[in-house]
Amino acid sequence: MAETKENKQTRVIVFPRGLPGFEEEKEFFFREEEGTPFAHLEAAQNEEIGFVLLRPQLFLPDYLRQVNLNPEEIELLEIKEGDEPDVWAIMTLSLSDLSKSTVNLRAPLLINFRASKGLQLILSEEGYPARQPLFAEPVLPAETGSPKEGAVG
Amino acid sequence: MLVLARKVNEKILIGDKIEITVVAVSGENVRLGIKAPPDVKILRSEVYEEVRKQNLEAASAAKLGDEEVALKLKQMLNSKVKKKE
Repeated sequence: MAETKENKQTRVIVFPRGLPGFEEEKEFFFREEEGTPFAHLEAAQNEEIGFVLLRPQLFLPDYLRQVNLNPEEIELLEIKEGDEPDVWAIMTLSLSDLSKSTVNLRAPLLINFRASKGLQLILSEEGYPARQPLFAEPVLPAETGSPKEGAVG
Repeated sequence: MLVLARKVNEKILIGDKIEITVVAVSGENVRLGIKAPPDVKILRSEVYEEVRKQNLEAASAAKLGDEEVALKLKQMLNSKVKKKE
């Protein structure tokens, strides 16, 4: 695996808050598989910790078309004018039956490649499931609902 | 922890910008209305825990899933995507 990290497509991305469950891991190797909607994220300090990522827009073209980040999140991602964070979703492979694999739409990864900063955003909108089956049609929240409405329930 | 008793439609203010209203009480369920600036993150606390568990599960499956498994899944997904195009 060492040689793949030397690959020029591998980027080091800093997640200043870590990821929920892996708060201690701040630095990750990000490698996009060219020509596919997949990428790999591996903790720089612990190669045992890794994720398979998927570009969610492939299935849901309107997913997070506009992301509402608060000032703290903007600062964390070091977003400046013109920066457009990349959106990725973490896949959970179901090894016994791959067709039961899911993707986490509730907590997408946002990566600002210009600054090499990343963040796992937990959406406050109800309706984006943390376990969206990959091989079922997603049920989306209403297009125009405001986040405030989504929080009532 | 500060504990306050409130009736339906009564409010609690937190700082200058956050207002919580008890909207309805029905049995064990309390419905709360929350007014807060957009930059204040409001989450049910279970959601963070759910994401944490999901991350742990995703990482352990990704570790166990060998290249072959990953490849197969990708083929399944690619054919799904192609069907849509």
